[in-house]
Amino acid sequence: MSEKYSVKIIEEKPIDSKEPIVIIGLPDVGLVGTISAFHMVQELKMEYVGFIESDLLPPMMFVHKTEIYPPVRVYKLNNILLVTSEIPISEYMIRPLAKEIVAWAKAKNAKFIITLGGIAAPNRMEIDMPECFSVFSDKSAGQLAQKSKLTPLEEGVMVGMYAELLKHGRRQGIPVLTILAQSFDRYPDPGAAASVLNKVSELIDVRISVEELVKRAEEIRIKMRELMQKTDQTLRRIGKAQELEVPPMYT
Amino acid sequence: MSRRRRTIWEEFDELFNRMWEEFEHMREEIERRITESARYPDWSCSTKPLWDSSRKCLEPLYDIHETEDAIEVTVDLPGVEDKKDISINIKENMLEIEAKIKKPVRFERWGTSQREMAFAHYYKQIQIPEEKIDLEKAKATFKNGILRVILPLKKKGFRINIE
Repeated sequence: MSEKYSVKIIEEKPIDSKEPIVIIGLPDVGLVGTISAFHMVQELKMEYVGFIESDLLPPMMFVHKTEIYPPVRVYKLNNILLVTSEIPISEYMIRPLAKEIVAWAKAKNAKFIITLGGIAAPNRMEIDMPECFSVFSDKSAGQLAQKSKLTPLEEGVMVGMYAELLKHGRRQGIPVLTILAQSFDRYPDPGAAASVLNKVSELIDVRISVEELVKRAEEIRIKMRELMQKTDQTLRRIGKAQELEVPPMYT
Repeated sequence: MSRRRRTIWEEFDELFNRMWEEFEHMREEIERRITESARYPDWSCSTKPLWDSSRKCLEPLYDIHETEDAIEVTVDLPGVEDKKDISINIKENMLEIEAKIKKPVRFERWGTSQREMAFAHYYKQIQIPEEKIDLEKAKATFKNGILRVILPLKKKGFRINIE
């Protein structure tokens, strides 16, 4: 199906950032990526510059402050480019979108790609400050993880959009660093997003205050219930639960 | 000039053609729906919104997990401050959860009529196999806006020790 349909990044405003850092925050476990990305847009007052055009997306537009926006969007602040979404990325769109993002990042001569997400922690209720883990596509992304003291995930399984981005990043020679915070599996987790953003702040050398995020945590949890429910359905279909299984490798 | 009466075969032909056209429409519609639901499954299927305007309540997200000994239900209740504001009941194979939200939730700028609504509590009914549960031993905890209900299963069978 993916070969039949196209996925394209459309730039509505010129993106002339030199050696940009591309950040991806999409709906996934605990909506950590989406919550982090939305907070970055608000806190850093990032500018809307483009969107993802695809037959694989539903025919919809979002209205915000009387302006219309497509569901999967691109934002910019200086040399930081951010891709985020208001809807789950369907299983048919994961591969072509990952391919398109990496090709686009390469054409932009991007320094690296950072993906923001969560990793289900069964004991999340007992954790006050979620820890962040990293998965990286190559040595230079690994050095980046080391710089911000991210604990590398030594063994495990990655399923979904970020797995595809790591794969294509390595093939195309664009370093990809995935940050995963311990998170609730099926509930929106602003606390995990705050942990991720503290690490992003160090990595991109831009202060991102999470004060407002922590203050609005309950409101965010309430307002993101529907997106969480839909994302959960998608994640179950792509076999996300495998991330909790012990991988057979090296046994 | 009188019109020629149509034969029974011509009548049958016309009926058959009409039926065929109907089938074609149905086939196209089914095909369209299958393609749509495959392309963007979670947006084309009819998931109902997690709020009820008539009851002025929100539906919480929940998770249910069954082990050998118990059924564990967790419910996300952001905005609920105290365990005293939560009521949990079991009746007719349903776990019924109702909770008061401390500060009623408003979606001030969203939608047309919804913008005036204030949601003051959560309500959720979750189906459970009541006959398998040891109701006397059921317990619940509430921490950081997450309710956890443990429903122990009645012990069945007999353990045989190995000599």
